Amino acid sequence: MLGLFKLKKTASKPKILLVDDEQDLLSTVSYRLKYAQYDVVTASNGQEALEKAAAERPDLILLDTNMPVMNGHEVLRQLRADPDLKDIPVIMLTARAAPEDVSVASSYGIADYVTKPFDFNELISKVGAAVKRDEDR
Amino acid sequence: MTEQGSNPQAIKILIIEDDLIDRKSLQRLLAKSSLADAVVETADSLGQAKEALKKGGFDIVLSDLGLPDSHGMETIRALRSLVPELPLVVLSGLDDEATAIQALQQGVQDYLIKGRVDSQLLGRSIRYAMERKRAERQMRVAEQRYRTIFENSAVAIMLADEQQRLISWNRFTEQLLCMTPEDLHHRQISSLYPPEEWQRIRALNLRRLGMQHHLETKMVRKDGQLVDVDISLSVLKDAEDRVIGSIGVVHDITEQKKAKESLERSFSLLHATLESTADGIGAFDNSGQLTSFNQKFLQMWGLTELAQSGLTRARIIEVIKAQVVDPQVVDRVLASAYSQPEQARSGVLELQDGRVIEYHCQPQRLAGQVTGRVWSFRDITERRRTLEALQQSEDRFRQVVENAQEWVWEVDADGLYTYVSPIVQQILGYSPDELVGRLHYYDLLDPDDGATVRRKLQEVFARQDAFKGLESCNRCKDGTSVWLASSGSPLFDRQGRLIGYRGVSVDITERRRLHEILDRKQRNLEAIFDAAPVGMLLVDSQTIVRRANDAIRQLCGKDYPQIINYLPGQALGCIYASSIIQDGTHTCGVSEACKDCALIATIRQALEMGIPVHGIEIQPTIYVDGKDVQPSLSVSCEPVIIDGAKYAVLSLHDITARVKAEKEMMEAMELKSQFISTVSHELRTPLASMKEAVLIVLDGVAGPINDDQRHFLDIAKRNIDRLWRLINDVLDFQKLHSGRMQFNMQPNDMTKAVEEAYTTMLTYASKRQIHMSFSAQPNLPKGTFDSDRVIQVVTNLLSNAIKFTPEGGKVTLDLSKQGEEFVIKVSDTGLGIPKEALPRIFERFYRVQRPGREIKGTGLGLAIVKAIVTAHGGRIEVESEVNKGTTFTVWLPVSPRPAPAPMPAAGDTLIEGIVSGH
Repeated sequence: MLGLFKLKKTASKPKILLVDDEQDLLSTVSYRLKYAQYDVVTASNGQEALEKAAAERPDLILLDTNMPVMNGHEVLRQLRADPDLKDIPVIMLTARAAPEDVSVASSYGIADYVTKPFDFNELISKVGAAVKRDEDR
Repeated sequence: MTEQGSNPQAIKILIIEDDLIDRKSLQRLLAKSSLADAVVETADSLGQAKEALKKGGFDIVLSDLGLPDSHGMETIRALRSLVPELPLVVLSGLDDEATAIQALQQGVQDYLIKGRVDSQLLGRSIRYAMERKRAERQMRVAEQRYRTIFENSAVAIMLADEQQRLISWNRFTEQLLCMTPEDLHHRQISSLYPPEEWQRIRALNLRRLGMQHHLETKMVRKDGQLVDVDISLSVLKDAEDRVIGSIGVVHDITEQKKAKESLERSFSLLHATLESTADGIGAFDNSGQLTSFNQKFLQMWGLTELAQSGLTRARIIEVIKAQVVDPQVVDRVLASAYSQPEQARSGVLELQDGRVIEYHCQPQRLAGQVTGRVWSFRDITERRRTLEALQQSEDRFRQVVENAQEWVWEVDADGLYTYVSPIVQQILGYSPDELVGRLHYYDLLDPDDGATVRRKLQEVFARQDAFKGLESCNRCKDGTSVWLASSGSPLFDRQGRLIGYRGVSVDITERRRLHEILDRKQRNLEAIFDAAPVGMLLVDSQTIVRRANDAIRQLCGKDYPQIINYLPGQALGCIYASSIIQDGTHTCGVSEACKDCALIATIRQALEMGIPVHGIEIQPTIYVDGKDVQPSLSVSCEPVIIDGAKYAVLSLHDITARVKAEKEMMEAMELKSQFISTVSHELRTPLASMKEAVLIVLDGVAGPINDDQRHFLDIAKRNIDRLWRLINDVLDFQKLHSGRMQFNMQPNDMTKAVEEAYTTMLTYASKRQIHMSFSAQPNLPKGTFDSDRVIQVVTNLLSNAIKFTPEGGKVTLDLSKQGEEFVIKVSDTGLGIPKEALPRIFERFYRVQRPGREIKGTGLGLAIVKAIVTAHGGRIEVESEVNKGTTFTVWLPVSPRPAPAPMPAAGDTLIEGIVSGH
């Protein structure tokens, strides 16, 4: 099963779940990611993010913190509690840069923490690194 | 020498007679008389008599006048001084009336003529003499008791005669009026009062109406000083209801106002001496012929003249009957006497002239035969009167003692009660019988408190001093405690030995309780006063500090002696006031700088106008611990009246720390404000360039662009605009917040302004597929307002309405005029606002929680709207129902008042900051 999963992974482009309530951000960032040869799925709130994660099994989640319905921290908690989803790497992509926000997110185990505004090249390299790390496991 | 068997009840008689025959004859007479069982001793000289009397135990002395070692009156005087208490009957061979009277005046109880005495007369005379002596003694004791109370009384008691001259008074009278006995003797009582007070007293017509009066008045002291008194006046009358004088009982209420108990009622002083009179004696034979008589008999019945012309029994009876009140009594007495000739008779006759005559009659025998009757008469008028007067006086005294609140008592030298007035039962619950002869004063003392009092009283007894106002706690019969204030004076016997104390006690339990309550209250208040964290000064009408609490000491770094009795400035250590009183002049409030002193002004306002002043802030320069400091003080001053005098309570709260914190807070706020302003302005510049650059590409000025490019440039432009709006909101809010917002108040067309906002928002509405409509009342007048700001308000409200209304909903804008106000109404069919959120929606940064829908914004929009509306003198209200819609209504005055005050909504934030900062 694991072998099959890995096989499938290597056979196609890595899939990224991009979660943000800001439509303009989803639009620009997904455009860039697609350009960088990733499959992109979007969600505009936490609830939707969990549904999409379960359905799409992304290789990486880019997760905003401040969102309606369910915030990013809650999404993280539920992901980590779900045996099927707990291993998906997550990069936080958020406007909240306070140390306590970083430490809350880190406590759930995250691949990286990127604050808005961000340099897209930097983001792409961090995304690449996270996906590779996951594949190497 | 005892010649009779000893019977303990028997009368013991000493017979002093040098003549053996007379002595034997007397003893024989005695043996035959009713006193046959009397114990008789004899003495044949005064010297021997003295020896016998020293042993004591005699009830009466029968003595001859002529003795070997003493003669006549000398004998009487010697015996009287030796045994004043013993009755003395003289048996003399000398039938001389002058001698008899003289002897009676010397205090002899009876004067008998040898040879004319039979056993019955002798027995009667002895019993009579003893009885009289006993009565006399009783009266003397009673009188002495009254006299002591009269003398020791803490009220002045004065007696005046019918000419209104003082004839008797007690020591307290002398103290009260500061007069000597010489000053008081026969003084006209009118001179003791100020003229107007005397008129008042006279107007009572006391003597005529004869009532007792109680009034408050004034009396004049020797030095002319007036003294407030409470006086009870009553008249003294004789048996015929004739006024014979008056009694005044005077209470010095200048001294005693604090003590509430009423003290004394009146006393009467008696002149109680029994007057001895010689008997009138007449002997009649069986035929009724007067056979023998004495001069006194004639004088007594006015028979002297008749005696010249012969006295018959019938004549004498006629004369006597003419004089007695009830002649039938005479008939009855005679009938009774003569019907039983063997019997002795005695009784009393009352005469029309007021005299009372006591008669005795017994048969005269000769050789065993009754040969006639001997009548003796004694004028007892005076005695009767005296007795009556004593009785009255004693009654009065008893009434006084029994009705007074004072408990009168006597104890012996060991402190055992020998007399207590009945009031004791009300005070201590013991009846007089339970105390007298049974309990000592110290048996009643409270076990806890008693030892000290007992020691004190033992010392007083040892010194034989009088004592006054001694307070002691006593245990009642039922176990409860009563506080008594007692005064007493020592009693001595003839030899000057202390035999006890006599005094009065007053129940002061209630008074002490009140004092204790007051004391406790006072202590509590003092504790509160001292512990109050606010500095408090009590200043008198001269603005001198009379009290200060601990917080004041802390504040000015001084101790009480440097605070009390100084002016406030001196006490606090104000540099304009010297702490030294120069030439008796205080130095606070005299310098030039003091003219504007808020502290002095505050105190004066409170003292002179009685107006309380609160929360004045002052910053005096005071000298504490060697350096000048400028504490910020919040001063309140409350006028108070204490014991009728004006005072002011000054409370000083050291708010230096608060003032400093406020200042720092203001500075920090200002800094923040400036920072926001600077940053916001600095953001605008790059933003303007960005927007311009994006527009150049977007508008195709820099060459053609494809659809993807347009899409992303649109995103860029939209977000630049959004950022622009955010910066503007923050700047606006900051300006309004700090009161720096400038309003361009001009006459403007309201319809035009509202319509402009409407037009601006049309595109946004249609994009969100909201149907928006606008209606305005026609011909609205021009108003005075800042057009741009009103457009901002309406735009903001419309923007909110569109934002929170789902697609297909409706937003309506309506403008009208009600009275002198424009009314702008923005209604939508949107989400509505939950009831609990309604009161908070105008707060800055407040955002309604909407589960499932987060709509972007700063939370400043409505706060800015409200600030602008308020600054225009208008108001804004909201009505809403969840899932039905919301209506905002804005009222703006057509002509607002000049210079609308930009409202800084900063106050509450500031307070929060201060409170949490502490």
